[in-house]
Amino acid sequence: MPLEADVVIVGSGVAGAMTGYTLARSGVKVLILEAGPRVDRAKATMLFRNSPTKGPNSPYPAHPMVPQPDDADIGAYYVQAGPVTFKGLQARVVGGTTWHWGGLTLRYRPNDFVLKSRFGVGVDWPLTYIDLEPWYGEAEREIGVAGPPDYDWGSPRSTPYPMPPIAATYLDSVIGAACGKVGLTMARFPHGRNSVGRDDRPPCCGNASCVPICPIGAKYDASVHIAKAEAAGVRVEPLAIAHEVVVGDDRKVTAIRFKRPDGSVDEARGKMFVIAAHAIETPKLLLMSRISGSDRTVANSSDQVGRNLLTQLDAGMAGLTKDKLYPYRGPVETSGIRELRDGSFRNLHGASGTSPSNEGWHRAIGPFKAAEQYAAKGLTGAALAAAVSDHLAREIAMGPSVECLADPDNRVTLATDQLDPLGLPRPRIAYRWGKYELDGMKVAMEYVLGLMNALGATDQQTFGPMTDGAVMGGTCRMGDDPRTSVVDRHLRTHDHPNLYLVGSATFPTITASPPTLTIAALALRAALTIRTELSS
Amino acid sequence: MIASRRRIPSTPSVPRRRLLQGLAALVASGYIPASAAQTPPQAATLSKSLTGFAYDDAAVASSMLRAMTAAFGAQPLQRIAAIAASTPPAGLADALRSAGLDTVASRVIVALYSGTVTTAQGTVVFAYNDALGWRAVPWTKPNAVCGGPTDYWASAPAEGR
Repeated sequence: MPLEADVVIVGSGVAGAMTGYTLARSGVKVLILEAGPRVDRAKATMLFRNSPTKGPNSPYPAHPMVPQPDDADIGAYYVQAGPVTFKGLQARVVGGTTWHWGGLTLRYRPNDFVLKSRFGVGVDWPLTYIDLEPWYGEAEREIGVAGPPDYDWGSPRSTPYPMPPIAATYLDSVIGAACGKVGLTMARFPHGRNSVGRDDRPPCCGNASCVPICPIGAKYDASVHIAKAEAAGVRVEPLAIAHEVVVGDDRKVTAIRFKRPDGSVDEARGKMFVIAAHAIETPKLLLMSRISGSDRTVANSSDQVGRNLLTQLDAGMAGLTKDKLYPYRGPVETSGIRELRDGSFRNLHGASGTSPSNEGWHRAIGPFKAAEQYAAKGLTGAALAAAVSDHLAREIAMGPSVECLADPDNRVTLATDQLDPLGLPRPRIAYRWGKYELDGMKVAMEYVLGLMNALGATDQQTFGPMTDGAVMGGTCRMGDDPRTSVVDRHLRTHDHPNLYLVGSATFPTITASPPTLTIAALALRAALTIRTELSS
Repeated sequence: MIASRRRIPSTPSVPRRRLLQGLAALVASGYIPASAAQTPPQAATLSKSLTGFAYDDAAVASSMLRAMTAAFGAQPLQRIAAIAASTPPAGLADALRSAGLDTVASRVIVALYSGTVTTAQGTVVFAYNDALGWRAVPWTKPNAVCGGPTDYWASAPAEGR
């Protein structure tokens, strides 16, 4: 028996959850299909503790029939076409990848939307910061953002942050003092984590495990809006693996077909459809969906579906500072370097965001890795403990994340020769870096090296460049021209009037800032458009 | 964003239920001597000599001893314990090296610190919150454990003030 709703949403991450909740709140009947299982926070925290690696996906093991990339085995899902190994992580669970995001809620800057017209590189977005500004404020209220009243990070605000700021770590204060020696400055970040009790969630108490899990829910994740959506009447179907978008003769989508883990097939029918399955699964679903009687795939008259895959180019440095910083206390990042995030240089190289990590060198297993090093040198007992303590207190790691321009050959396609357990193709990913990103990284790393030296850091090591974060986008980009884009400025597909794509897959560029708040703002905006369309 | 970039050698995650099933099977098969399932005082002595700390919780200590015995064998552990019991701390490293036990002792230390050990049956996490490594850094605490009131992290810990 087919499921029915006014609006069928594929994906329960921040984009799908926020869209679904907003629609349901205004009386729309909503169904959310999620490929993965539900997450029980307490059980997930136990899985994290019992994991030897304690990586980002350690609390969220893949369902046997729903594979996902694992930080310890990226090849478990992605088929790499090279030349660069793409390591973008996603969690295929109810609540999506926000379960293991860092929680930083920077807005994009006005210049991020006009790279082409302002700097002559990349593409412009079909909307501007001014268009999105009110929605940023709304998204901050929904997520619950704690931000500094004294600095707007280059994004002018019409509303105050909903909560007082999260304090900078002691580590940040030491590094901030060193920044002055190399012409840099630091400021506190806005956070999607509670600084005070709000929305039935407690304030942050510094579990220091934001990646991969906040055990108390002080950090926002999309399970918040899934719970609200269900309370508002939304039906959430976990383990419903969408594999086909069905299009009728009038170009309108009529249904989403999905598989259950036992291989049975079901169908969800509605008036409007939203695909909000992040930057890999969204194009994969569209590419798997053929339009009846044609060779074309859904929403792909532009041949842009799957193209222009974006991430941030990452690199890092680690060292041991002269003075003790005491990392491993508090949220994973609380302040960032203000410079290089925007400026006239963007006609030459990418902007970058750099922030010191509060996770030392090895996050949840720092003391263990230090013990390995000193035990190998023959230290035992009290001498070993003292060495480990001194080492850990002086660990520093930081690195830039550089914005990326779209490249049509950076692409998600279907690995039809490598199927998942349900017989669906795994995503084949081709990725390469461009000069713009690499030049941006070179400039940023010079500053990082200067800062490390100003901190008197020894034992310096560099990492990267690499594509190793969970920031992804760009595979179904938005634009005004149907020949070069998949969705319009309202996130409606050019090809199908009742099909919307929501999430970072629609981003024309990925900037130096984390994308989550922008995803949320666009989802809220799209929900209003969909609701208006439904009423008319 | 560097948080997501650091990598350590990967090992599969071992759910606790599988761990317990595996340990039970090892004991049942005789691979782990029944006596090793106890927590003899010399195990605590060994741990204190090598790391300065010992597992206080009897259940965790018992899990630790089973996993360590499975990983390293009872005899090497007994030899290390004997040397540790009869050697002053300053001479322990040399004594272990002379006995050809320095490499295995180093691995034992890491296992005690991390609460994690690799056996023939896979990697076993017998402790995380209680892992001895956290005792070496009293100015912080295990991840996913509350550290104090909001913003406690803004000040240096007591030892750094």
